[in-house]
Amino acid sequence: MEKATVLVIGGGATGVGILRDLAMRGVDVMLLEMRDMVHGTSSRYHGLLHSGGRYAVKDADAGRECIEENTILRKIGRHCVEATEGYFVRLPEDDPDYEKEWVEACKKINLPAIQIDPAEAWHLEPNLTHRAQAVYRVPDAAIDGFRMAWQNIDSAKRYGGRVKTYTEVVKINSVNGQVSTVTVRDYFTKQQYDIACEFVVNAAGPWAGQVASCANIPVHVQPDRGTLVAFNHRLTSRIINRLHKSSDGDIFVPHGSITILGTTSTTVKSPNDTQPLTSEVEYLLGIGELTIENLRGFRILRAFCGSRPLYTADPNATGRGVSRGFVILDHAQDGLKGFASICGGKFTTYRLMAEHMSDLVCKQLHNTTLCRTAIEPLVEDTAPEILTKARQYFPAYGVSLAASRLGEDKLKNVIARMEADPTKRELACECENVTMAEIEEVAELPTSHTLSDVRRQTRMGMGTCQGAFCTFRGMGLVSQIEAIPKHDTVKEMKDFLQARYKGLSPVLWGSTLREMELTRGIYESVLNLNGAMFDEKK
Amino acid sequence: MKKNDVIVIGGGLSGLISAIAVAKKEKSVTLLRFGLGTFEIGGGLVDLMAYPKDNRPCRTPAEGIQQLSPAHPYSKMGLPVIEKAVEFFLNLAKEAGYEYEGSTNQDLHWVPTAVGTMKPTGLYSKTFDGEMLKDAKTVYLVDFKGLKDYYAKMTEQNLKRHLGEEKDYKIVIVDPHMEEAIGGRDIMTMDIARWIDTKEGLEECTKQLKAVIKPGSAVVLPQVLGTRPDYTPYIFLKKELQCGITETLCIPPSMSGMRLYKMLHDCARKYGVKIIEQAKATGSVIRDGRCEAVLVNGVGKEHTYYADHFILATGGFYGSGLYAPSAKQVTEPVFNLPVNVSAGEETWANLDLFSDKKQPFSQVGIEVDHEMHPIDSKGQCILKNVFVTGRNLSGYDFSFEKSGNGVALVSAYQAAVSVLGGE
Repeated sequence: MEKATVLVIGGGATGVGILRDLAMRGVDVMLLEMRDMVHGTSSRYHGLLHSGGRYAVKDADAGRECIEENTILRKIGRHCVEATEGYFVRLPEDDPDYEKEWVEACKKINLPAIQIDPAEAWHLEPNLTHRAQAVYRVPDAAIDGFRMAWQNIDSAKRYGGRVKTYTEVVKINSVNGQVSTVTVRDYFTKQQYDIACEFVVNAAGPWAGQVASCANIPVHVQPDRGTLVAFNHRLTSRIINRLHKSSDGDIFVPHGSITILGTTSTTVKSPNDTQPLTSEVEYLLGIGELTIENLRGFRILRAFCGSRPLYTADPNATGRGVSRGFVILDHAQDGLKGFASICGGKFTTYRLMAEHMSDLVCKQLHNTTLCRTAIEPLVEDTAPEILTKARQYFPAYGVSLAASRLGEDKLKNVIARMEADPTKRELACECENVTMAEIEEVAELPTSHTLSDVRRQTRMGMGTCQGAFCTFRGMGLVSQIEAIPKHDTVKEMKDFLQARYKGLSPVLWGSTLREMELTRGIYESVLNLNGAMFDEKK
Repeated sequence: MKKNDVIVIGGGLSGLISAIAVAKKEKSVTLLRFGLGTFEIGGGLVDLMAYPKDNRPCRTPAEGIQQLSPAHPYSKMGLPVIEKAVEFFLNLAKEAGYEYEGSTNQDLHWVPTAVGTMKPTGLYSKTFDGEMLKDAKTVYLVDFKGLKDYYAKMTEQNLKRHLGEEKDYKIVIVDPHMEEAIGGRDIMTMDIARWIDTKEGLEECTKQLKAVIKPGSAVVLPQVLGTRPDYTPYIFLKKELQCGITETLCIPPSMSGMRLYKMLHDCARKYGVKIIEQAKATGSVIRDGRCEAVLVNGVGKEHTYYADHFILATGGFYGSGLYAPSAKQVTEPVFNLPVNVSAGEETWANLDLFSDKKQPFSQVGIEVDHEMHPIDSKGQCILKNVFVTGRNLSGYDFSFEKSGNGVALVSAYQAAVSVLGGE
């Protein structure tokens, strides 16, 4: 039987944070994820590294945690963070008294909020409305949730941490009130087997209630649906927050060449409910255009939807009324030793959450090693000679992007592939600058089971054309090297395009609709993926 | 003021066909063009109808057409007009020396794709010969060294599923000697097709294939058999190898589409169609229910084009003939024609991209009568001397049905007939 001292359930930010933390303390730890890494909440949010300004008034503790963690993540994860800074902007419709309260609250949590002349703000951010009454600078930043998670995993692996994806937890078994094994199921083969362990950490975010129920323990996590809109433009250089009581649609976060506007907040039954709706997009645009007036003139890339894991001891609390702080539940109190759940929280504080959880685990394992996740960088900087070499083969602007998403080891492999076969230097995904060699490298990783897994790591298919060209190329390459053998290529391409379509279907107008005509023209009209299954029956 | 008999707005398939059909009857025709339509995407096939209702194909295009609702453009024009339009096209191709095959009454013609799936079509050039694959014992899948966007293993994997495991499948790689380009720029099917356009290229390619391919087999190629509407490379290769030969449908740019474009372009020029490039129609002058002129944004200058008749072939959403500024709102920029959005009123888009249902948003377009006049919600003709064709029309899903170029062809033909009959 396979075994690990600690099993961490959930491959989101918290889970990978715990994996890394425990691995660094010398614990034999394995992470189990039911689908692909970061498929859930940690990749379905606005990518804002909070300064704490948003929580300063309502929840000073959460605000303080944010500014402290913000400072730490900029250092340990600098390849994932774009230090944009942020503005808090008060519009005429926002309460001026709240501004005063907010300024005081920021002081209390040591958050530097510097007031600037709105005229200067317009000068620096020409798309910002001229109706702004007051503007403050705060140390907000943009953070790439995918990359942060992958770099945590890479770091954990160097310390012996292990990861199993597409592995669903079926049952948490115990002997004499102590966790003994976990029964899991392979998502593809449906085979069930047991993994022995001493401790199980439930870090399944909005799915935490479901995981806890595998041990017959009730945990009340309320999934809260948040819809966001990604624009195909960088609307501002900085993050723009509305200076008012936290509400829907009041944050713009620029990432590379795109901008994300969010968020809505709706209580839902299932965390799997992630189909965004046109009505939600319209609602967000209506609010967003108060801050950026010509918002509707910009092309929308897609809409997407995530599920916040709101923890509530009170089953009646909902949405923004629930604290965004986190809690750790040691289920020894429920009569099961060796099982703990971590609930609530937010991406910005994932490392702190992991530290607290790892402290609890280590205490029970009598491990006295101290946490070092706040001081050791996630990945080392790529050596300059490797970057120089990469420049010979990569498009110039793609080098630093590829280096940061691949890490040094995989970058070296990719360069070797390009040297061995010059055709592999070609771009498979022109929008995101992903070369054929990179797709091959990632497709051959043991964690890549589907074309969408390759997408999440390489960003192939996530740019302007949303898979119109690279779906075919990615699939062709993968079949050429016989990676990902489990599925048939037609189904795989359909699944990949469907995942893209999920975010496109609620925003089919303007250029997005034109693009959809092209995508359908290629995959439905020319390649007949739709009718392919019936053509035998003619 | 220089006045034309007819102005055609749009240089895609329906624009060119309608311009040719009118010009053939000795009318003065000016075609305003801003782009090449979808020749490079859809390829050189003229899909007529394959999936009239769900994702089960009909037997013949005519059979499928008879199952359509009255709102479908085909239903408005009727089978006799469809047959005449097909005949018109086949004659045009024959006249140009690049014959097409197929008809409304033949069984659907299935063409292999680069994925290895089969796609049903109506009218096709000889280079798409899916039929001969059935009887072949050995199938050679030809790839070219350095060619981007072609993956013979994937083609093989899916073709096997379709044609059966019992055949012998072999991948052959031809070296087009393009080392200098490899790793520097992308080599597309167009590069290989240009190589095969040359006598040396064709001979070299044939020599390499002849060395490995046994006569009597089937040879599957990407779209590389020349850039021109000319069967010389196809006939030469077929004769030398003594094999059945077919091209596959690839992702853009499509060489077969470019051949069809060249054929129609040359034909339009032959009949005296005046083609204005980079001419984007932006508005029109309307008086007493008739259009007097269209306004065109040319290179740095606005022009006014006067004519007796106007054919609007601006290509729907993809061609910018229709524009949706926000959800469920659609405008037509040249004549400001009303757009029928009723198909997408309740649900604009299906939950799944690929399903057994047509996409509602795809059926949004301009409502016309049987003569291709734009009509309002009461069925009244809006502009007596304006005719709407192709992707601008409401009531069909080109992609789901596999009817794109077919509707474009037939509506263009009908518009031309209406223009000529209206004299």
